[in-house]
Amino acid sequence: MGDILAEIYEKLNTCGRCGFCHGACKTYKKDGAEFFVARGRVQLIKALADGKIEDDHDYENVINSCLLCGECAIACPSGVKTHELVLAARRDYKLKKGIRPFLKSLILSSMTKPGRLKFVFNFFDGFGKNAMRRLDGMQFFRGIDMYTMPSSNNPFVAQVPEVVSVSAPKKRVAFFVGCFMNYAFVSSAHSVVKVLTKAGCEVTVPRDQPCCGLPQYVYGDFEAARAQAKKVIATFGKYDTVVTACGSCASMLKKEMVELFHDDPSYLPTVKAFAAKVFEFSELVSTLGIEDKLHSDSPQIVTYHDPCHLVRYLKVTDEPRKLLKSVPRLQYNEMFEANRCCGAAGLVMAFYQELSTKITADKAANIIGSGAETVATSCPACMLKINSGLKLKGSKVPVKHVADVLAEALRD
Amino acid sequence: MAVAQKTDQDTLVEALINIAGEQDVVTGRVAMYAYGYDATLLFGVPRAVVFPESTQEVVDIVNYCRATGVNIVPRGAGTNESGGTIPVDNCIIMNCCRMKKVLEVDLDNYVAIIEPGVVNYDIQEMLAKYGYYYPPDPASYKASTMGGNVGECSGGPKCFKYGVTRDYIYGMEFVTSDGKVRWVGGRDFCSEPFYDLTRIMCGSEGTLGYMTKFAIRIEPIPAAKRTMLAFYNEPVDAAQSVADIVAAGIVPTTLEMMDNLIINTAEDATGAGLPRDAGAMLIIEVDGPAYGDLDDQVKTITEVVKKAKPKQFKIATTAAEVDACWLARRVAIGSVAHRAPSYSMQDITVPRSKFPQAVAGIVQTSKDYDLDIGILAHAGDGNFHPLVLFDQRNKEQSERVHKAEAALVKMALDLGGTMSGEHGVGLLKKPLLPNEYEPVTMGAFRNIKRAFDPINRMNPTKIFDL
Ligand SMILES: Cc1cc2nc3c(=O)[nH]c(=O)nc-3n(C[C@H](O)[C@H](O)[C@H](O)COP(=O)(O)OP(=O)(O)OC[C@H]3O[C@@H](n4cnc5c(N)ncnc54)[C@H](O)[C@@H]3O)c2cc1C
Ligand code: SF4
Ligand code: SF4
Ligand code: SF4
Repeated sequence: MGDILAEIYEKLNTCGRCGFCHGACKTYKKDGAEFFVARGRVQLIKALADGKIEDDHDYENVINSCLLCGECAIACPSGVKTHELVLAARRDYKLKKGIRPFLKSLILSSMTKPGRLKFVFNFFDGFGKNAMRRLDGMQFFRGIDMYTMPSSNNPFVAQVPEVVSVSAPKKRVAFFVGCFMNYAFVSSAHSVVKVLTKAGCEVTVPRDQPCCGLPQYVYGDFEAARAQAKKVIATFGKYDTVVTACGSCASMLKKEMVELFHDDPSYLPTVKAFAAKVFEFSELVSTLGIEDKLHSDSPQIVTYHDPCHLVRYLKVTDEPRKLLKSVPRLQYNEMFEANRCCGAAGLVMAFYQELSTKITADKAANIIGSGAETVATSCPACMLKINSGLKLKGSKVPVKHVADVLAEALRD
Repeated sequence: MAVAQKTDQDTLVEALINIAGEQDVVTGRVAMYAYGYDATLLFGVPRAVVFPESTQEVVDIVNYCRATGVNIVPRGAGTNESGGTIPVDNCIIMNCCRMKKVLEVDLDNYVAIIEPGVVNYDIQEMLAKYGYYYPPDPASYKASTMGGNVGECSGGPKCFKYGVTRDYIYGMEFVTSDGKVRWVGGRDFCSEPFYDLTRIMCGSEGTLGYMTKFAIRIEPIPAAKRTMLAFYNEPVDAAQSVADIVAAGIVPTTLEMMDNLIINTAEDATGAGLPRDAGAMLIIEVDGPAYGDLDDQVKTITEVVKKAKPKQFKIATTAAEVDACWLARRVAIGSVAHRAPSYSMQDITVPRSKFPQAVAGIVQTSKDYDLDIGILAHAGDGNFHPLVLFDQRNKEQSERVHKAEAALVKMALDLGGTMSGEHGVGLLKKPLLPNEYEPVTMGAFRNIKRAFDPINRMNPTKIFDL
């Protein structure tokens, strides 16, 4: 196997150290340390490739604290895509050292085993949450609001029939729920089904809901991610249309999964064919013409947060806004810097909680500043993080999935 | 059990932590590497990085370093183009990035009091809410700090009309190597009837003291602005327009030039829609209190530009058009990475009237040394940033680059210009400085340094050796 850092070396060398990414990179804006900015990350990965530094714990922090938000790449005049280089560096690190620290590997492997996953979410819901509660000041554990973190003993898939049918279906779709929705945002998952069925779709919710593999992928465990991809395709490959309402899952299933198999010509066509059938919720719904079915008796002001994976990876930005604006009596207020990262970024929120919490504070301030009474978004991880950020600021603005806002406007 | 000997390094780090707190002290090989570079190709390794968050912490750190003989290299965002923040022997980096409070905005007196870590762009964003702005805006403004801007006396696209950093600093607080806190200049106005120490501190590149607070002059955003774009067949045609516009008695806010190579790399980076076959382009901007006053200027500029037979001339009508051409200008420097992995950027400046000769000189240098040189210029000030493209790993080519750099500087000096318009001297241009200044003048510079920093503790070996 070729050396990964050698493969990306020319790309690392493209960084001219101009510093334009300093304004774009949230981890730098909040911390101020050069090794937490895209330029620093690129230069340090290059230094490792050149044998000038060791891949010690400090180095691990440099690459693992990256939000992979891709904002630096937009700002970079030299065309450096730091998020991709960081990902390659994580892959390189994984191959050389395995995934550390211990806990990270516990979480990552739990995600691939549904039984364990249930345990992790239950830990927060049951004993974990209660134990936290008893400790003063522990309401916000690692930047996540423990009191209000939703989590269910009874995952969404156990609450709905495998096929939710409608009369004379316009379309048949399979719902890839994603673990966050399945365990923590069950009501949003119900909203998704409601919107889709009201729009005339027959929705299949396969009993087997494997993790999309993104968490393993972003920490460089491509082997595990490939195994997940194959499981996903084994279950969902047979449907004509697959929909997911988790921005991160959508990106994984439509984009990263294809990249994951770029050097496997025998399986690549299968992955490409699958990826072409996957739609992010708002992408699909905006083609179904539900606008005239929406009703609302009371006015409301709503704003929208763009999850990184939708705005910069999949470039889906208009659809959710259009759907929100189509709700009668809904006033849409765009917030300042709507497309900037909320700080969740997978495990960054768990392992770099201080940094991540500061980033979320900006997002919360922008939401409050927009005057909105509700903030909508398209990713459960963002919902969780933003909700905590708003609570920390004492705000009562609820965080909803776009599907929730639409579902409320659809009469039963 | 043997007690491990405490090393000098341990003692240093412990002392810094005692002063600034654990969060604000960084060591370790990985982190030190990240503070080894700036926007140049030079490199060094510091012993530690400290982020003081108050003037008192700065004083305590300076006192400790004086007592122990440790050198101090002040640093902002590290975007300087002259090696000003490259670590020197036995040094700590003193970084102002976490000392970034806006202490006061006083609109009655057009002044704001800010700390050195505030990023230029963040001031603009904050002031825009009040309808105000801070005129000097280096292309690096989204990254560069006020500490760095003042340290280098940075200019920006607007400086032809509005002046450079030095013209917007009413006064400042700084700490000298004796540990004393000094305030020089005024607060609400310029107040130095005799020795103007504020202006000496501007552009002092961290060699005289560590700056901790600035009183900056802010201004209402001009109500009216017109942006024009002209594309030419040849750079000399653009140069002719520059000379003619100024001769016509017009002082544009901005007069920026890019040649064919830069137009193309900027287009690679932004896709703004610039014509790739143009030999050069000019961005011309005029502003004023009311649109009526600008119409005459726009008319004159249109006539003058037409004389040079441009390929295309347009007056931007929408904000999006204006933004697109500014974006292309701002990314110009970094965008050359689309063509070559390394670049060397000069900062030569010639008298405005010699602008066409300097353009011709750069084109000739490019031929003489067989190197791609892109031309970017704050044309109104005669300030050029010739970007020499190369690959640092190619030794022979790098040698040629050094020779071309020297030739460019000589050309500028021969035309009565200077080797550094706004990027400072640092380490990069230090060897060339004696070409520009007589030994007696160099002696005077050294005496100024000795008056502020007799023990040579602040950014030593930068600009010149004592
Ligand atoms: C792509 C690009 C575009 C640029 N465009 C321009 C431009 O248009 N115009 C222009 O003038 N420059 C430009 N520059 C150069 C550079 O951005 C400026 O010099 C900028 O002001 C440096 O700011 P900084 O915060 O990065 O400072 P640094 O690079 O960190 O420091 C600059 C100098 O100031 C000193 N210093 C920093 N903080 C303090 C302090 N608190 N007290 C004392 N000394 C201090 C340092 O020791 C050093 O000598 C550009 C650079 C790049 C890479
Ligand atoms: S903006 Fe791009 S080229 Fe410039 S320092 Fe950042 S990563 Fe490097
Ligand atoms: S991907 Fe985001 S967090 Fe990572 S370096 Fe780029 S801007 Fe910073
Ligand atoms: S992306 Fe995240 S939320 Fe979505 S399924 Fe995978 S792990 Fe769960």
